[in-house]
Amino acid sequence: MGEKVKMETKNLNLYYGDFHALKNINLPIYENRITALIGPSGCGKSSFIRCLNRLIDLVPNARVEGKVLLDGKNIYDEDVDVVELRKRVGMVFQKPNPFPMSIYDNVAFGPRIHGIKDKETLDEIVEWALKKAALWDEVKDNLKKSAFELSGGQQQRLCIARAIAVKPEVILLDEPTSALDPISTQKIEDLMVELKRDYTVVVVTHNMQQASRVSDYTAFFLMGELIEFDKTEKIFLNPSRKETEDYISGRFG
Amino acid sequence: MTKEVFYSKLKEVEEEVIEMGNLCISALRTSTEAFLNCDKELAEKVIRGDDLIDIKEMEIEDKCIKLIALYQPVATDLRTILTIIKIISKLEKIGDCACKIAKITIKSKIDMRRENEIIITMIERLEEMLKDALRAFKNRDEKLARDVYARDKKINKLYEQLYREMISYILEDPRNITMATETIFMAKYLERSGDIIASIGDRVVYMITGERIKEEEFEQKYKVKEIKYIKLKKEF
Repeated sequence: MGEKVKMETKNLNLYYGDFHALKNINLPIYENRITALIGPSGCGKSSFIRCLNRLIDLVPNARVEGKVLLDGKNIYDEDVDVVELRKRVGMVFQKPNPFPMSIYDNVAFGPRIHGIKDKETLDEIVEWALKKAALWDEVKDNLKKSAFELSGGQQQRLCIARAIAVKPEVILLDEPTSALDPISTQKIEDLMVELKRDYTVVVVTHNMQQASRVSDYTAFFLMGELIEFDKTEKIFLNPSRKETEDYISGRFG
Repeated sequence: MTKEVFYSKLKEVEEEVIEMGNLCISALRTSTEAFLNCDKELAEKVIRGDDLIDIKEMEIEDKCIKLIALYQPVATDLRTILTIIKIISKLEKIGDCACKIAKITIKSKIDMRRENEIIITMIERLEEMLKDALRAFKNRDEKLARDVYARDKKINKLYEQLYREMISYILEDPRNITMATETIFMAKYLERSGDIIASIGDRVVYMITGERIKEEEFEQKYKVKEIKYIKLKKEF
């Protein structure tokens, strides 16, 4: 498709104990593109996204087989530093989960962990990240305020700012707008489109319109299998597989 | 649940399309009969009946827009609704052709015509074509839709045949000019209806497969894999 592959899974299998949660997933993730993962609950899309930054390591009895390549390098190789990996592949969750600290400290948290102490540099990063997350204008006069005082939509944008503050290369969004109202949702969607200029974005969503509005590529998962992956317009206009058609048309799931 | 509502509404709309198609078949048939029998009264009826076709088109269009706005259909469902919107505008044009034929009859000073086999064959074939186009639409029958598309060539041949026949009448005796030109004009509207019905076949194929016959033809004509305006523009 003439695109540069940023990440790629090769024969990726995931087991939770005896349960085979992901079956032989081969999926390319293209650089500076938004890839949407869709599928009914329990189909494995959230598990899949957690394999991309090894967050799955934290799940007891989860076992991964196969490869996940980031710029051609398998992230499951023994010499991979997981902290460094998660800096390169950031994540934002379904429910906004700001830390119990000020807006400023939330955004500065990652850079501090990665060793940045200089106040001026931190100020710059915080401003840059909040601007990127389209939140700066709303909070610039109240950076010391607790993050919990923000609205849900603002909190989610704060989490995105926190994720991008460490300048990741890939951003994983796990249903980032499912807890938000339509206006906040639109802001996050605009932000995703804005973010793809500099980053590679993978978004898990239950909202078909969101997938069709924002993404360039769409992958449809069903019962742990990747049923179809193609350009989003192809998926929503004329999918190749009947299962995909049934799902996006709302005939099941 | 909401999906069931959507499909039952879509089905209602599809039935209305068939109903509108039947109105068009009858308009075309009646206008031809009126022409052949020089029946001005019957021709007037066709013109009055065209309002029904126009109103049906508007109603179906409104329903389609509502379905899109309220249910955001995708894939086949979306293609179906877009196809319906296209088909009804084509059917409306067939209604217009019938009206134009009726107007020729009303304005004509001829009160008797000799039997015209070609016109009778044309109207019979057109009727069949349109019935099959509607059947292909209803039953999602790609093969039949392609067949409808292909049958237009036969209608064109019949028109050419008729045209030659009329010209020879004119050459034979100049008093035939009025009759012959009226017949040519009238048959032109039948021929035009054939083109329109064929394009309904094309849309039905698109609805079913997402591909257009016209696109395939262009690809063959210009010997390219994927037809693109911008690439082709350079050639003109």
